[in-house]
Amino acid sequence: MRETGRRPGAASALIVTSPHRIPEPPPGQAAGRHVPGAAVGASVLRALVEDGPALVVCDTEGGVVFRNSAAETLVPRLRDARRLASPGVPQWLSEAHARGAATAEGPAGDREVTATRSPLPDGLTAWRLADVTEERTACRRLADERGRTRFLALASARLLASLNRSKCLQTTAELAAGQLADAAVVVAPAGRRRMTLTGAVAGDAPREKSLPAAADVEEVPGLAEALAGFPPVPSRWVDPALAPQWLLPPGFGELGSLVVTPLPGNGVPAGALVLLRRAGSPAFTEDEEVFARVFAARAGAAISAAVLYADKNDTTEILQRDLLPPPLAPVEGLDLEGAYRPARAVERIGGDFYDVHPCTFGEGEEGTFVVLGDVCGKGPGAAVLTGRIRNTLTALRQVESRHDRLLRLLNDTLLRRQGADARFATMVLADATPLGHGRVGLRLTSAGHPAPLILRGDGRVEEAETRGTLIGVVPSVTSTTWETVLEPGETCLLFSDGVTEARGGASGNEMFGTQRLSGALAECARMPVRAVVERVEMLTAQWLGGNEHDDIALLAVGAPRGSHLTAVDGTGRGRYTG
Amino acid sequence: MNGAVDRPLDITVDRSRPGTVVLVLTGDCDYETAGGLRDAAEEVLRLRPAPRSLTVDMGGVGLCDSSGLSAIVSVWQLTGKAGVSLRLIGIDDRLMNVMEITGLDGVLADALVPDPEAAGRSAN
Amino acid sequence: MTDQSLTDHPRTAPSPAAPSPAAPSSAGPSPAGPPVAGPGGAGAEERHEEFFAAVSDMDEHRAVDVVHRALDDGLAPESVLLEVIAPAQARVGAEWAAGRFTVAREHAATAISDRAVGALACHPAARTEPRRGRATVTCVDGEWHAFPARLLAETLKLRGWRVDFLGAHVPTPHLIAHLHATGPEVVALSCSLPVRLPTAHATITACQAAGVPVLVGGAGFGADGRYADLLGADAWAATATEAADRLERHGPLRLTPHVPGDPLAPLPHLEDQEYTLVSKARADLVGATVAGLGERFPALRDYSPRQLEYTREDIGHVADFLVAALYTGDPQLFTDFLGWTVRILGARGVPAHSLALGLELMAQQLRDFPRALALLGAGRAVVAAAGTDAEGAA
Repeated sequence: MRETGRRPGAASALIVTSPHRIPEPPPGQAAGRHVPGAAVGASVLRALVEDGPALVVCDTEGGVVFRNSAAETLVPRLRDARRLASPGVPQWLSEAHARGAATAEGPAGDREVTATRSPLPDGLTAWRLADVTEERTACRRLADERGRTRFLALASARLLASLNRSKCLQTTAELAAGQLADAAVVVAPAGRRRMTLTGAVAGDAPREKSLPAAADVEEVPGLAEALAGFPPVPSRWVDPALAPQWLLPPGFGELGSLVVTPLPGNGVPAGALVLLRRAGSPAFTEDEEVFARVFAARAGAAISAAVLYADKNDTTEILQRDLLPPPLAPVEGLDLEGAYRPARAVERIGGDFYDVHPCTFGEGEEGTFVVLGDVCGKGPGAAVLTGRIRNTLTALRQVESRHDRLLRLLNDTLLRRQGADARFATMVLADATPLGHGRVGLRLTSAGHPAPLILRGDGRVEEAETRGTLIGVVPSVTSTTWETVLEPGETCLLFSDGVTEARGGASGNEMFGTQRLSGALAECARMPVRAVVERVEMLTAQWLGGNEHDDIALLAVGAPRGSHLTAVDGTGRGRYTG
Repeated sequence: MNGAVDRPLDITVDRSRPGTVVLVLTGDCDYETAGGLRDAAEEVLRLRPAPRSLTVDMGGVGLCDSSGLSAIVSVWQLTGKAGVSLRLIGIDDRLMNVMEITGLDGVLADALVPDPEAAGRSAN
Repeated sequence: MTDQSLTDHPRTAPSPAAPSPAAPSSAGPSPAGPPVAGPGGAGAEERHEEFFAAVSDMDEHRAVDVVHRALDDGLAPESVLLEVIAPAQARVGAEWAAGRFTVAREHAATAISDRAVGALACHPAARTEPRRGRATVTCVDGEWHAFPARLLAETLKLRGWRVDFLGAHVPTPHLIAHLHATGPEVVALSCSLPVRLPTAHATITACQAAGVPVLVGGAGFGADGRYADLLGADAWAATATEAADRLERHGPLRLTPHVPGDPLAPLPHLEDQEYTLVSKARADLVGATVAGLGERFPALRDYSPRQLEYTREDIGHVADFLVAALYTGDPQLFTDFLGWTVRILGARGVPAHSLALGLELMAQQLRDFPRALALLGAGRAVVAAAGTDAEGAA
């Protein structure tokens, strides 16, 4: 079947020529003359030609008179083509033939091919075809690689130049739009509820806007996962039909393809990079996607460095408080345990605090003064006021031991402060005095703060009956002080509303509440204070189930259970009394 | 991040009654949104002629945290200075409970007296 | 299902991942080598009994006393840590699993053990000059079983490391901030429950992105550490001793080189989005399953709100393990957990049929998720087999 359409004359013309290279006829030699060598045999030469590089022989009208199997492999449609200008045969080849060009090149299917003309006797022309795909790809890759290296060097230099978040985002969008796509949008969290979209169309200045209130990152498949940052998810090709309008930079035109790539950053998720191409532009290749990831890693590192830098200025001190909390010094005859867990989101870190001071009450009564409080508002401003309150209380405590007077002094001091605003504080003051035999006397005063809970030995939970006005807002404050005695093994828990107002549970939005806290506490009867605090902290966190939360502060004052009679010899381990 | 739904705070200004401005709040009044309440109150107090009274309708408020309370105190301070009477209506049990704990119920006692007219409007 | 939530796990984490809760490795680092007798007194074995008795009685002072005496008598601090305190803590976990300790009592025992470790650290015999590098020891976010990590932190201190122990439940951004601030040579990350593996993966990759190699440990990574490799940890150690040895003998831990985007290569199944979608739908899944249980299991209607909350938590835990198995692509993670749950229920005299019913109800809701369905199917087989065993035994 393969022989169909081949003219015997053409075949013989080939057979008498070198199958590997069809030479120009030597000068003076008439075209078409048979050279010695025909004796080798047509079949041998045929085999040599068939084995050789791709070859197509055409007549002057562009009729295909011969093609070898290599040519058929390269251009399958040549097998049945009677003319060069046939569907499936590269048009550039027939055009080159018609034009009389000496060389030509172009695509053949997914291959890249060069063609070189060799004139043959009898008005025939041989086109030698060579598959140069690998070579060209390699060259292109090298050129691309050089271009990318240059781009990355430039990108790094530009990205690292700034420690400002917005600037880094803009640079990222601009660079990506210039090199990787027709436009790029960097989606990045800015605070708890806000997201910014920094979009750049190639050639234009980048613009930052907030994610519209009605928009949700979940609308773009893969975007939420990419924003989580770690582990970095692979880029995701997204159906352009699914892209919401808010994602597209204004005036971008019709969307052809888009890819979502995470910006993992150096340990902190920095956001996600969305690359956009217009309809008509080529879609993203795997290779380009890998390169986008390399770029995203660098851009992410720069952005997170800028974010970390900004956060650090505000919060190093606050975070250190959490990470390496100062241990509560052991107090004779008293068990103390505290826990402080600042909000995760920097902007939710508020002003929860606690302090413990040894002191003398009234008539030489030795004991411990404890305060746990909450300054309203969040962020560095609240933290500053917290520090002020702690310092003021420490100082005032030296001159005044009665809670109501102490609170009044504190209130006056805060009201007189520079630039007084409506920022207030609530707190609980506690005096704890060991009474001997493991009992502890407690004096509790709330100033606008949730009342402490007392866990009795039998599992009953009591609420301290104290109430008072918050501090720092109104000229006159009042409070009532409540006294009780902790028997050995009993615990008093001071807590901030970060515990009771923790939102989570089954619905994800229910408050933990005082009821639930009391219930949890009731199960802790006779447990060491450390275990009580850890347990409440754990239950609160489990209730939250990963939700954001405000500061959480807990402080437990306990009457030691099974304490030793240290009084027997003062220093020895003494006798265990149960 | 997941679960807890945060809502922005919408503030509608109702000036349909002469001499009184009503701020109707809908949403969460917290750290990120409470500033809006303060700003709205300041704007009302800049109106000329000045209103005789300002009513804040909290009926549509979901969550109100300490920042929200702080904003209410601000509004109370601002109206006090401007000689405008303040009314707080539509306060739910939970917020009332928080006000009791913090002693704000005493501080804001005058503003918490229900204004029958305003309460009626709120119910509509 | 029970009067108390099973999800309210003891702090010693008798791990669902490890077949035997009593195995020392399941409760964190365990001692290596035979007990060593102190020159002037009882051996570690005897002191361990004494210590266990003290923590069982919730007697902090006696527990601290045992530790002080052991050190005074010349027992090596590391032996006290890993041969007296650690095994006692493992036994506490086993007691809970067997239903002999309440969660509260187990909790108290752990708090006392922790205090005892603190007392050990303050004892002159444990004073060590830092002569090695700086290490950060931490628990994965959401992880409350800090005790195994604490043992490692103290072991490393005894071996001359400068250790920052960040404790339980450390939010990853705070950990990263700490790494950037202090620049340690290594992060030792503890994870006791496999449900935290997706979070652990995020933490591991985040630490590595911050340029710090990660050594992982804890029952969450599997008794053989199989998930450590899967999640790209730079090293894994089964016990505190092994971890300390690993950091000492093989030179500094090096960051495993990786290219961006690589971390998910060993988890190709995530492509199907089942993990993402099922974890997102967790609340609905749990809610509908509990509601379904109420219809099919009339006794549930008489439950107190508290009991209902416990049931919800239990179902939530099943969902969490399902989600973790979808993430790792390892059915054994789920079936081991269910086998363990059946044993725990058995120890409390609770039949497992409500568990089987729960799995069935979940399967009904996850019809469109072939991998989840396969996991639930395997889970039901395990529960059914365990039920038959129990009947046979009875």
